[in-house]
Amino acid sequence: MKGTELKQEDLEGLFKGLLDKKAVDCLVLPHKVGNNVAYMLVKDGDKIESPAASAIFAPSFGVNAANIVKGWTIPERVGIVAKPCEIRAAIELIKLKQMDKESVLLISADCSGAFTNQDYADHAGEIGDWVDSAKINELKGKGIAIREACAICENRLADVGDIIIERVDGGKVLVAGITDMGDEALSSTELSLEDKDVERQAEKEKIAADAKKEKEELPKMSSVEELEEFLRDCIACKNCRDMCPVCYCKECFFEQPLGKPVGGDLLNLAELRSAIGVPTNQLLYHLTRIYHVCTTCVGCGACEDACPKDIPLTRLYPLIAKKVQEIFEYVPGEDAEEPLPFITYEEEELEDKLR
Amino acid sequence: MGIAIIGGGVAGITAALDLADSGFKVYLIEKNAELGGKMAELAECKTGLSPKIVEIENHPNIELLLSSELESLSGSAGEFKLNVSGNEIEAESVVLAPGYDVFDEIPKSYAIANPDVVTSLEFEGMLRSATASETGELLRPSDGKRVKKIGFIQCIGSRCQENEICSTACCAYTAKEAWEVKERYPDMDVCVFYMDIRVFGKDEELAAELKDKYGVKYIRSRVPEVIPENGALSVKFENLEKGTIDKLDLDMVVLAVGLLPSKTLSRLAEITGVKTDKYGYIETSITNPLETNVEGLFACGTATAPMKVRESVAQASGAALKAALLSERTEMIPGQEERKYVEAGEEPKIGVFICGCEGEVRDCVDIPAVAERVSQLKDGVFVNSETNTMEEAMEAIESGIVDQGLNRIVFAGYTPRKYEDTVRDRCAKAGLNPYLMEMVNLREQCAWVHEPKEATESAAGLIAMAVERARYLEEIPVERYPVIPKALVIGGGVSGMNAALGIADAGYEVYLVEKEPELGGSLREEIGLQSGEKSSDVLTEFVDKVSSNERINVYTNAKVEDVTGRAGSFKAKIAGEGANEDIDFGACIIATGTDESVPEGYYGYGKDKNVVTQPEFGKMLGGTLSANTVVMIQDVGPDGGVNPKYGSIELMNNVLKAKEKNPDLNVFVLYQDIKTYGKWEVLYKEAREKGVIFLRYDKDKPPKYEDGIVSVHDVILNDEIQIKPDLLVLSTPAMPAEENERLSKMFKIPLKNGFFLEAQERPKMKLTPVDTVNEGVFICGSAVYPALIDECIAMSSAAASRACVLLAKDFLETPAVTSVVDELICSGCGVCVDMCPVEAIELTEEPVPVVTFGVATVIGGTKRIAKVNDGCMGCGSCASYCPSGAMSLKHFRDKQVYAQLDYAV
Amino acid sequence: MEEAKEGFEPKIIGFTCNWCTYAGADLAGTSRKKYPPNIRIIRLMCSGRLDPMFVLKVLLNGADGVFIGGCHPGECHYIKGNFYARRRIAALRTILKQFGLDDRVRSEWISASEGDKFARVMKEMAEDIKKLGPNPMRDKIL
Repeated sequence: MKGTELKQEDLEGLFKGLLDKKAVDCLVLPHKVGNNVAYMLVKDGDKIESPAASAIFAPSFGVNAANIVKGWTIPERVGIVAKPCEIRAAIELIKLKQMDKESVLLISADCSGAFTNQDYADHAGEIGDWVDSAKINELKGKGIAIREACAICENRLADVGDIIIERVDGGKVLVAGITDMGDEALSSTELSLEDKDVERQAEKEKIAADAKKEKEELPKMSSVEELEEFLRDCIACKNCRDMCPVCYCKECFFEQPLGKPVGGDLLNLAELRSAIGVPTNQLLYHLTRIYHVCTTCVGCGACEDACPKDIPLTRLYPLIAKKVQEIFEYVPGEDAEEPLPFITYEEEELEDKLR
Repeated sequence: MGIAIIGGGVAGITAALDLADSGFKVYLIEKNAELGGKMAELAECKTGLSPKIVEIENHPNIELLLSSELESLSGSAGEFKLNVSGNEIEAESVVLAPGYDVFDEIPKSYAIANPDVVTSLEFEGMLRSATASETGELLRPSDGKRVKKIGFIQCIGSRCQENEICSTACCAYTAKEAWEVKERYPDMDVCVFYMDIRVFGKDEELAAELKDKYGVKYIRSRVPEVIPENGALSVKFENLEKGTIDKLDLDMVVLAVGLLPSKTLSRLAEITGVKTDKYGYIETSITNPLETNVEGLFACGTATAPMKVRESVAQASGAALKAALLSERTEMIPGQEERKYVEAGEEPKIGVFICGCEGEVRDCVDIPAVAERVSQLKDGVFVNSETNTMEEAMEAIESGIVDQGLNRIVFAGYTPRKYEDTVRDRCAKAGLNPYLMEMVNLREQCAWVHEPKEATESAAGLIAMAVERARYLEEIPVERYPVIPKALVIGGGVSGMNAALGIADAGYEVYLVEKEPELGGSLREEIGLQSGEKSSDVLTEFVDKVSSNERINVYTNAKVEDVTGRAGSFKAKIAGEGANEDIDFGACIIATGTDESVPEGYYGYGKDKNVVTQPEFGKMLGGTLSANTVVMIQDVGPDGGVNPKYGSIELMNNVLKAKEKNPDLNVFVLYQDIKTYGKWEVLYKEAREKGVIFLRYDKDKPPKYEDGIVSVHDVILNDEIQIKPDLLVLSTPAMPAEENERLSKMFKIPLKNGFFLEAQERPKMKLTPVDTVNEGVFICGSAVYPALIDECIAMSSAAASRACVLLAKDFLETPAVTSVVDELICSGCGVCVDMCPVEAIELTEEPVPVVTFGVATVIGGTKRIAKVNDGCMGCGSCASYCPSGAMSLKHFRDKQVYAQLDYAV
Repeated sequence: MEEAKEGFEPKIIGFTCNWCTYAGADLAGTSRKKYPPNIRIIRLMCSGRLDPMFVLKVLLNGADGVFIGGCHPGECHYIKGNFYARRRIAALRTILKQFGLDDRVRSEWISASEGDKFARVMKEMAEDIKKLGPNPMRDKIL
């Protein structure tokens, strides 16, 4: 890959350059709002806050950036600077034609794991603009833990999208293009690019191993009764769906008469089964949703953050989706050209998973 | 006038339906009181055949003469007069389909008097009753003990003194019986005593599977003898693997009896003046396999040679076309009248018709109890449980629709797999949209598989589900579109030319497209045919007929591209040198044939000029033959092809010609199985008589050829033999035409081993050998399997016949069960587009209109929406993916399935 | 495996494709091959039409078992419907496994000529599910 090392404070210049040189028409970028971090859509490079790095790397997760951009049918090229899981979600959305590959420039930045944005806001001083694993452990001891979805995430290092922003030693970052589009965009900013290859395999494996361990330690369900209990507090607000970046239906099945029966249909059902729970089809809603996102779920945990009843949905959605992805040897968001598991097949496969 | 068909077996039935469906008057004459012939004697086949029999019985264009026989025939083509058991019939042409009889002079050495020795037909019956019995066990007739070891003996009454030809069908049906035994009783020891395994196409795979997967012991043997000893059976045989005399103790023996011409055939020949050959079959020729010596009399099926159902059916369709060419179309084609449907109305008025199915259901299911429970279902349904036959039920349904105003019909009785079209048609006749009808399978899936009490319970449950589904059924508009009376034929070999001629003679325009610069296909190779004719003579005749036929447009150096549309109304482009034409047509026949295989690298072929292929050797026989010793090897590579059915026959033919040229020639044939089907068996016999030496080699120890010496391990001598030939001749597999892959994708017809797959109706019967899953596209000749020239001609006539049945119609109906998109919900993800197996979904960009809400304006843009086009086959894969349910499959919509599910538990 | 629960007759819902497995079931009938009456067959045109939601729905309705039958891979009437079905079923069963429901779902490729296989699978399934006992979702107010 071709890239360049920059000082962290030069990142603003890079983003401004992308805008000025029309590599992108606008930029979705995190910025600090008080103690918190949120996204903004920038048209004018002068509005980019300094230091940009402190917002980009801030370990805070609010809304998945891909979910924000999804469905913006704007005729301009949007650059998105976000965490790897958000960029992965965007790539899945490209496969699902909810975004055009040509009209987004995806820039992923290293993530170390994030806190919910409430936790971050509450402890911004202690957490700071970046945490490493030692810091994460230290904070955990104080009862300030990163999100469960982050703890079990194996793909925290920036390695997807068109451009990656890696943290390197000495307060520097490595910016590099990993697709033609990324290369072109970087070249247009007149940065001097050279062949760069930073070996991070060991680091990656360490993260993956730690994440796996964390995952093992999560409580597991083994029966459908346990699922019922798990979802006991669910109020069927469907916020988990609305905040899910890879849920892309214009109208969810569970807003339609079959998923959400009303009137005569509802009475028929009640008559047939003597009694039904209301709101009805709650369990079906969650099980179906797991199935619908099982190949595309990037494990960002936005569902859990969105749950007003604090149901630890990471244990439901990302955890189970991952198991499905394993049988297809599929990692969502790796490459926009890779086909979705449900539209492709091998002539001989999976026979041990059918009966 | 009309066309008379003699024989109401599978061939007669097929011919009758093809003709009647295209508007000809048909007299179907059957000597027995029932239709079905030999096939109807087999329980399972009867079920497969019976829908066709129902169709015949109700066909307005068919006059059925049962228990009737032809007594005299006078007149000539175009004006025959027949006396059929006292009735005078006038017909322009006659199709003879009298069928076969089984060999019944079984030699004493097989101990046929012993109750534990049965013929394959008897065994078929035993298997049925065994599975239907309480325990399901196969019991020995003599003492009722469980059968643990069973043996099949092949070639009883074939390839023997009494009947020197090969019955062709027995190897395959034995394989199927052995397979059934193994499927049902995996622990049973099964062995098959055989001389050569003569199977081709799919059956070849079955035979291999039997050996490798099922552990059936195929024992190559000669003159087995069955010796009853102490209440058991012992089979003594000459083991051709080892050259020893062996004995094997078995509990039961099944004799695979051969086929003989029907006993009625000699009289029929006498009456009609049709010539028979020395074996008693109706004489036909290789190039005119369906024509007899009497003009206007056509023959098909096992009356012309022993053959399997698939070939019989193909011949019957082909003969139907030939007969039609001499006849005038006088009748209406059923189903062409425009139907008017009554408005079904919002409120479902459901009628449930429970049919006794000639007692099959009534005797097991407590119909009154079921009717009682069904009438209790919510909102009230009308129940009729009085009918006992299909016809009674249909009349009741019609009256229910017309007189009682029912607007949803649930018909419980027979399987929808076979009867749905009939029931839909009757509903439509009565004015109800045919898709407001739902069937429940009480016969096959309740009465026949459960005990009475349980069957009754199951019946009530299934009907309740169907009633609920019926509430949600929707009228599907049935639209008609005109049929384009033209056909496209792909491939200008003998099959393609013959098909084109058949269609053109029937009065339709034909586009004949050949990729090579000239017509002829593999016949362009100068070879002597088995019959002694020269390929060039046959070819010239065909090419002359094709080029002088003004209805046939020939395109050479051309290819067919961009096919769209459906049966009755296709579009395509003919592209190639000097051709670039858009055409439309109603039917298509694929007759691509085979490609020659080049055994490059096998036995030094390509380097050593003394190594040639069998066709090359055939050509050499046109000149002088200087060799003294010739070695031939069968079943040589390369991979990727299949063994042609003509392989051994071509070899024998060449061997005999070579021996004729040079009687002192030493010929060694190294083989695994000699497959000289049917009458070609005599070539094999003649070759042996002329001193040709046949050495069998094992698949795992193929012959070697080094320094001009062939060495082979002879199985019988169990020793290595070395021969120094002047010429080494290789029989190679036939390769599927390279075009097949592309055509398969374009026409959406699956391939198997590179050859086109026919639509499969029933497991063990091939009643549609030239039809494909893509209605309106037919396959024939070596595009289906590498076939003999007479088979290619018969099959291509069959394909032409099937195409003409379609082209004879003025209108067809659009397919109803297709996918539809709810455009308001579609998110345009395009997954369905990628998923569709037939590329019937496109993603369109639609402008989003500018919307103004008071002062705020939502800016318009574009949105993507999936659109289903004409090609949809209705599998529903798209609908199952679509998470929002924007994509639905009509007739199988989510809400319709949900309704069933709600009542299933 | 624990012993079959006494007197428990499982309710099994079967989804079959029209061309292979439904025909295979018909063949079981034609050859009078008896099998337990626990199955209620729903005919789809292709196993590709099986929306896993159908299975989820019917399991939550209390069905004790779900059977899915299609043509053998490579022999689909619609060329590749069963390949898609296989992926969906594998995914679905992986999900159900997390809640101990996967053993209640079984899919088999049964061709039109495999009447015996159909009957055998029906027998095995009825036995297996008897051993599993009733679906815990039965009679729940959902």
